Amino acid sequence: MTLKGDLIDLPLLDILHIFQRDGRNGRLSLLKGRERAVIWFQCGEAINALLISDDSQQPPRVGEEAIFALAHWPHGSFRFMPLITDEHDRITITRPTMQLIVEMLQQRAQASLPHLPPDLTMDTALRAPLQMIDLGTRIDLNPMERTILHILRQQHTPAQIVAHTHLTPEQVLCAIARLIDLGLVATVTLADLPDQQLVAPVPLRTKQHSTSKLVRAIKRRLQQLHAA
Amino acid sequence: MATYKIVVTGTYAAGKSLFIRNASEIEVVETEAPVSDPYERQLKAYTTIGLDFGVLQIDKEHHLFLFGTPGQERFDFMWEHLAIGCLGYVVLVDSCRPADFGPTSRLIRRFAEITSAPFVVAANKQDALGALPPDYIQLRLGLPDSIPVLPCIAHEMSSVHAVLFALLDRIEALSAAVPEVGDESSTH
Ligand SMILES: Nc1nc2c(ncn2[C@@H]2O[C@H](COP(=O)(O)OP(=O)(O)OP(=O)(O)O)[C@@H](O)[C@H]2O)c(=O)[nH]1
Ligand SMILES: [Mg+2]
Repeated sequence: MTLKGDLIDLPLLDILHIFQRDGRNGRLSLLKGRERAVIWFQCGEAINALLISDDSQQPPRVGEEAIFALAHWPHGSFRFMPLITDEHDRITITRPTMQLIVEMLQQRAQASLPHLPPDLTMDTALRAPLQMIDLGTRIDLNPMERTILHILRQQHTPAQIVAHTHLTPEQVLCAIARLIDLGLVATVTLADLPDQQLVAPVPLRTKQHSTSKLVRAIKRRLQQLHAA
Repeated sequence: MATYKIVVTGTYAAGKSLFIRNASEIEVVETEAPVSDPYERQLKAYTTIGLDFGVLQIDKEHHLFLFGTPGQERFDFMWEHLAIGCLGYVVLVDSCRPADFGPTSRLIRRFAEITSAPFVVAANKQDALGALPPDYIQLRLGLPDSIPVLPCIAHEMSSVHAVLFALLDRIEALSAAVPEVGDESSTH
């Protein structure tokens, strides 16, 4: 089974990051209109890349040049084919993938003029995943952005951050917009699930089994099945 | 005879059928005399249209039914019917299909509106070479830290059981937070 989708759902930066972390081996093919690309991974490192276009005006690009061009694709379908055997690929990329990721982030950080995402309000729940905080320490962020990234190790809303710091709502929202643009912070869209999870399901209260007795009984049965 | 239910949901081809098959005691379904209460009719209707269900015989008196929600949208109306009164539910997500993360998020929201029962999310197909890691999927689904995403391989009974165990832990923990009416054991 292969991993496939669109860069809209899984940006290239995330793909590189995950593959690097998991030490993947294989070939990632990408397609956008008349452009096609392939990136080869070995032990999680991108070692070779090729970007070609049907348009004869566009010369093929290889190695880092191809990867950095691909980082700008806003969308495009992809498919990852894992390779189990060591396929001896040509090596056109010698820098570690983590270095490329950091450079991509840095390029984005310089280019991005934060625009407020339409769904970002003072009450939007936000979080920065641990590995992103780690990445954030390696790129240029201003002290305010760095502070907020640090606070967002745990889920907070902009309103809570304003209350915790001496920053204004405008400062906080701008910094967060930039961190979201960079992919360092994500919104916790399901943070506001109806708060009914603390209520036991109705029928349980009327049955003779108490919930914990019932749960223990089911667990016991699962263990028996497991042992069998 | 008391019956309880757990629902297994997820988007198209997430692995619901396989999960239920590996979670239940198939033989019991076939050899057991039909349960005499509204469940009987429900089960009959369910199997007639070819949908998944499984049974765990907890003990002589108690059965746990496992229902899979239909993958096709034309059966969406059944969600509510299935979810009401369930002990808890499992949301399966295909770890190899990032395009399903948005629809899965919406499904989670809809279920939480229908039922207050506890749930767990399981990143299925973790054995596939392309599978994305559960922590990344948690992020993409927009789930809060309090709802972790469990790794799952629906092909493996042990993995399916581990997911059910996690759900049972959650059911227990959450029910402990509310006193149960008429529950003799909650007073100790
Ligand atoms: N590798 C792998 N494949 C799986 C796993 N779980 C399910 N599959 C495969 O995924 C496909 C869909 O599985 P089903 O169990 O039919 O999924 P479903 O959710 O019932 O699908 P619908 O009822 O059509 O929505 C099948 O080909 C399964 O063999 C898994 O853990 N690992
Ligand atoms: Mg099915």
